[in-house]
Amino acid sequence: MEEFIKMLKGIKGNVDFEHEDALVDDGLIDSLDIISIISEISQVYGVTIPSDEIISDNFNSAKALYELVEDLM
Amino acid sequence: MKKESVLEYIKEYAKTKPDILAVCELRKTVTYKEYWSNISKMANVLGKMAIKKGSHVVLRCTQSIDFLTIFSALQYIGALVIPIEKAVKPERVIEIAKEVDASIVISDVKVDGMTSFLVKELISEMEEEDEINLPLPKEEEHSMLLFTTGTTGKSKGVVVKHINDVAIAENVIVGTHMREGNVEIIPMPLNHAYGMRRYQSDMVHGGTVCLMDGMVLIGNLWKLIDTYHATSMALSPAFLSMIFQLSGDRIASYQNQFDYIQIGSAPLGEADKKRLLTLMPNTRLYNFYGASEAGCSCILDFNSPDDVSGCIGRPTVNSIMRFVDEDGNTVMHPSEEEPALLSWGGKIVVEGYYKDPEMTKETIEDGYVRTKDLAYLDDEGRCILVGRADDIINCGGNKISPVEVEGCARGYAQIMDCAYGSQSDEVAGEVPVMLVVPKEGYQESEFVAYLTKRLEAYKLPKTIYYVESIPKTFKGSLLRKQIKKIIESYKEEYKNGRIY
Repeated sequence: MEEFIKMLKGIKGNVDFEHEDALVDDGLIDSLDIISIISEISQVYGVTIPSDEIISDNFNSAKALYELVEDLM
Repeated sequence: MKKESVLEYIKEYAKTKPDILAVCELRKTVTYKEYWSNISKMANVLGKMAIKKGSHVVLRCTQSIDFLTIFSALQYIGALVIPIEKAVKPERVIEIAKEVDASIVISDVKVDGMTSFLVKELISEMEEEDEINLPLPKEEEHSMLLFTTGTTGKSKGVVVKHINDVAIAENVIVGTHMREGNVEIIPMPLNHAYGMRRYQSDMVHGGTVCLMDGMVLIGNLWKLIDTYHATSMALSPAFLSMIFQLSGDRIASYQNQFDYIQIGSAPLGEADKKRLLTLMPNTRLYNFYGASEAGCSCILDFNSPDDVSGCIGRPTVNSIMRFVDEDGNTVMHPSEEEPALLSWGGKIVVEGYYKDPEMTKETIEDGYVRTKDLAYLDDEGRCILVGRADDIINCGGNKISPVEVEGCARGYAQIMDCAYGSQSDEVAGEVPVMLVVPKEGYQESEFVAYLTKRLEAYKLPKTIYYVESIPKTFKGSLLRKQIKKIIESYKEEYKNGRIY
C-alpha cells in the first residue's frame, strides 16, 4: 500500500492520498489524473483496469483503488 | 402546439407525461412532474432571496439535476442566468460577474466579495418550499447569457433568447429524426452551448436526459446505458476517442440499442468515424455544424452519401443559409474555385454580444450571423467547407485549405492527429508544413506516399514536424494561432527540418 500511495503521489503530489475518501467527488483528482493513474497502474502492476471498473467509487480513495488492483492481479 | 420556451414544454409534459423520466443521474432521477414541481419550488426559494425578474445571476455549472433545477428556476423567475464552468477559480468568477453586471453567484462553494448562495442549501430549502405559479417567459425574452471563449481567446457573452432555444432544439429533433421516448446520454458540460442545447432538445421533445460528468469515468457510461436503456448519445470527437482508448470496442455491444449518436463541437477524425460506423452499423451517426451565435445550423448524416470531404451537410429546419463576400454582399453561386463566406439566418440567430455593440454589429448583420468559414454548395446541394477565410494558405499563388489536407491526412491510420499550416520561406515566400502526432508503427515515407496519392503536389507539406499533441480549444477546435507559433519555433530549432 505504501508503494501504491507513493506512485499516486508521483502523479499528484499535493493530494493527501492516505486520508482522502472523495478524491473524484470532491474534485481533488481530475480526468487527466485518472488517465495517468490508469496508465501508471498498467505499467507498474501490469494490470489493465476494465472499463466497467472505471467508476468514481473505485477512484475515490487510494484504498478502494488498491483493492481493485489487488483483485485484478 | 408550439411553445415559446423550453420551460413551457417541461410544464406541459408535467401534465401530459408526468411519470416519464425527465433527467437522470446515476443515482438520482426526476420525472417531468417532479422536475416541474422542483423548478417551481426553487423559483419560490430564489424569489425569497431577492432574486427577481431582470436579476443577473452567475451559476456555476455542475453536471447534475440540481444545476438544471436552479438554472430553470432562474429562467422561470425571469432572471438572466449566466452558467459558467465549474472549475473556474473564485477570482475569475468575480471578474466574470463584473463583466456581466451580476451581483449574485450560485455555486457549490462560497465566493467571497459577492452575494453567494450554496447549491446544497438551496436544494434543502426547496424540499420544504411550496410551488409558485408565475407567468412563463415569452419567446423574445432573454433565456441566458452563454459565456464563451472562442478560438481567439477573447471571452464573450452571447445573449440568447427563448425563441433561439426552441428553434435550435427543433433543429436537433428534426435533424436526428429523434424518436418518441428518446433517452440521451449527455456527458458534455451544460454551461457550453453543445451540452445545454442537447438537453433542451430532449426537453422540447419530451425525452429523457442522462447526465454524465465527462467521459473518463467510463464505467458510469455503461451503467447509465444499462440502467436507463439509453437510445442516443451526444459526444465530442475527444469523448469518442476516449471511449475507444479506455474500452476498446466495448461500445459495439450496444449496436442494436442505440438509435443515433451525434457528434459536435469539432470535426470528427476519419479513423474514429470509420471505427464507429463499422462497430455500430445500425446506429445513425450525425455531425452538427453551428456556433453559440447560431446553433445547429447544418447537419451531416455520416451514413449517407453526403459524407464527402469537407461536407458539413445540409441546413437544418430552422436555419437559413446565405453566402456573402467580405463586404457582406450576397454571393449567389459560390463554387469550389470561388467559395464565399457562410452566414446563417432564422430563429436560431441570437440577439448579440452582451454590452458589445461593436462586436455584435461586426458579426450579426440584417439578422444573419457572419462566419469566417469559406464554403460553397456542390451539385448535390451539399455544403462544402473549404476552410476559414483567415486560415487559407497562399503558397505561390495556390490557395490551400488546411481543413481539406488535414481531413485527408487523418485518413492515414498511423497518425493520431495533425495540423496543417505554413511557414515563411526565403524562396517561395510561404510553404505548407504539417504537425503530426504519430502512432506506433508510423512511417514517414508511407505517410508521404499516402498523401501524394491523394493530393495535388502543391498541397503536400514540405516539412513534417512531430509533436505530442495538437493545441485545441476545450471543444476540440484547432488553435491556429498557437499552431503557427509551434511551427515557427520548430522552424528555428530544425533549420533544415525534415524535408523530403
